[in-house]
Amino acid sequence: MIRLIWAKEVRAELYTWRSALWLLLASLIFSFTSYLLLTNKELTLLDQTELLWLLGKIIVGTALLMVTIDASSILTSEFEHHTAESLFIAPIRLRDLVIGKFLASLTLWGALYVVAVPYMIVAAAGTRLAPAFLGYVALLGTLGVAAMVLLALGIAFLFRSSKNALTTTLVVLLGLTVPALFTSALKSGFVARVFERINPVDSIFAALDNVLVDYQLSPLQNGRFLLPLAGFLVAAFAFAVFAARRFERQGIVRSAS
Amino acid sequence: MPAAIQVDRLSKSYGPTRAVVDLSFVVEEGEFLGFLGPNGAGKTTTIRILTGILRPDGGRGEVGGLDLCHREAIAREIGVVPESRGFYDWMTASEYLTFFARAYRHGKPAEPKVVDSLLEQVDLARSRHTRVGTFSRGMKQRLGLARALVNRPRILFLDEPTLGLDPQGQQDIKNLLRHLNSDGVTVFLSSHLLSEVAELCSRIVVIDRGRLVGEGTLDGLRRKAGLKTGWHVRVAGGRTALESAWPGAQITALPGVLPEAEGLFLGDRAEANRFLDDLRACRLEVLKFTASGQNLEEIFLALTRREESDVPRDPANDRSAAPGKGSTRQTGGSR
Amino acid sequence: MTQRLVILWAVLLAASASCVAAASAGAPLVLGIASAQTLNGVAGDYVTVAARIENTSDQAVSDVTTYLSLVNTADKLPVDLEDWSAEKGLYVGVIEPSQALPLDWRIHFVKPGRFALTVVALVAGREMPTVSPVVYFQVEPRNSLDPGHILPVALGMPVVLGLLLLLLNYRRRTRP
Repeated sequence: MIRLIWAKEVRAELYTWRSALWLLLASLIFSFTSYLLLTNKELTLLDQTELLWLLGKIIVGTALLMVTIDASSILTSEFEHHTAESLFIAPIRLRDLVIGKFLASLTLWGALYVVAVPYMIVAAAGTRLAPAFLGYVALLGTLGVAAMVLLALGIAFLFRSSKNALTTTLVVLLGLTVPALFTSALKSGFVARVFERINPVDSIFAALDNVLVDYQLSPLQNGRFLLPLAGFLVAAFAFAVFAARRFERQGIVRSAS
Repeated sequence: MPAAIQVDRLSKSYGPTRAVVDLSFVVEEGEFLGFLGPNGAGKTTTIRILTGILRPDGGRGEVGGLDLCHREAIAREIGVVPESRGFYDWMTASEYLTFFARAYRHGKPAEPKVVDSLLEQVDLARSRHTRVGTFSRGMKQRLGLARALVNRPRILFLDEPTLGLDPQGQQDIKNLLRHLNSDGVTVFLSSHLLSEVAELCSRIVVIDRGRLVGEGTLDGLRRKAGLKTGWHVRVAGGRTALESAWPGAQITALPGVLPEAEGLFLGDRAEANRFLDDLRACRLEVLKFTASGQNLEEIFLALTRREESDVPRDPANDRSAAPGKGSTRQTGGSR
Repeated sequence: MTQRLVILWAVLLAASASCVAAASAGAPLVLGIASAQTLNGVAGDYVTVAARIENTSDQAVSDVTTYLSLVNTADKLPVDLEDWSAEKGLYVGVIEPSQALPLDWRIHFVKPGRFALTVVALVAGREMPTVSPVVYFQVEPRNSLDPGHILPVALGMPVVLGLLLLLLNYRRRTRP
């Protein structure tokens, strides 16, 4: 049943041009930024590893934004288009539905990653960092995206409205991303340092920095970044489970209509 | 014969609004049941509880011998045409039914046969590769019915199945439902088309404000409502002539070149025959003398009529003022 | 009386003129850039500008500040050293008689081009700066990355992806 839901969502993503446009937009963003990074006279003076770090941040950041937006409406669209009722009068378990939709959102991330691979290979040409670059973007991106998708699904269960779910999820994503872009001077306070340690987006960026700029390639050397990310994933999973159970208790339709 | 649907003191509230209150009824296997009630009576809520979409606050129920808590098991036994009909507009009719056929695990080799047969049944075979988004309302209605039949259900729940269909489409659906019922499928039909219910259903359950107000055959309900059969009478000779033969009757003088008058006589068949003899004795030319249909509308109104003081007025959910289908209309002169 | 006043005025004028002449005179310092031969490089390189300052007089010179001055000779424009060096000026302080001190600046070649570099020393209270001889050097352009392959990827990926998606939807629409 999970496969059935997953296949339906993937087909919907492609045939309604929802994901198709995301992929096209992502490829244009990657084209523009990588071309700029590799050909701009002053940017080319950056150390190549720093350039890879910058490109890695752009790829993961773009994917986080696009997949989060997509995941915010993947569930609520069933309520808004009145298709939820026909789904639940079929013998489809809520768990299967959620996992199917979760996997569909991760598939979008997978597709974005595949689109990003040529850019990463070209940018890493001449270094021995290409495998690490590809590997760590995949690992960190998957952990971050999976957590954000679970968070978006949980929020969608609570609100049952695409608009509210999208707004709330984007606020959370912005709340995590903006501090990660602060300069180190702004992160000098105690609270800022604590937040930096637990912020998953900060962890993704710092891990990429650690791998690409400081050549700390082993996952063990990146444990301090992977741990908060894994923690965020577990918390997002717990939140999604809680929201789904609450949803099931309330019923598929909440009010008389 | 075991009951197909059994409902015992079922209750459901939405905040302060009590949608279903201690509702109890039984639908036998193979029965064609009409489920009636005015707007906001709790029909859709009841269907949603019985199909597992909503959880009841109280009471219990069984569908196909299964307790309501077994949603997935019940889902395999039933077919539903819900009130809110959403479709995946990007899918073709064939893809749509294939998706649901897979949800019911028909097995890949059987799927095309099942889908083709269903599309034939609802007369959508020629549109199998057309995207659902381009379908008319009637076509979507038929596709929804096909989806409800995808698992060959034992029990079929229908919430306004002919809404939006043209007369031919309505007739096709009614024929299909009759056919399914004759094959042993229990049909639970919620409709505002009283003539449709009267035509198709062997038994009727009427609810109002979440409570059961009547249950039984048409004759049983008529008796419960204290109604007699109505006979439409039209005579030549004008109002005075009819009044002389039928003192105290409510008579309508009909406009036209020749004087004609019309009235409604209430009584059983024997009384109607005696009345007809009286008219002839008065030398009135009887132009028309017909039973006034099944009279379900009058029964329905009698059972669901509420005195103004009896209706709690909730500004947010003023059902008595709601326009449109099934709103309570005040009629006069027919009883 | 008038004659006395004129003489006094003349004396005062002469005294003030001699003071101005003393202040306008350059400090007895000699500046030179030692690393003239090693300055040529490639954009992106970090190099050290090694200079030397010497007090050629028999009196100490105090409050000495030195700084770099860079001119792009192709553009005929002075270069803003903002991105080139973290330490644009070096404060030397006192230089004892006959003392010579080394001066080092670490600079980053940000842009390619031909440049003229001088080291300038300012002594507080003196109006004339001391300037080293001009050193010319060439910064060759360098791309640390190979941009050769990015153009086909940057142009090709969106095009290929767009075509692929169009084809996918076209096939679905035309499928019987």
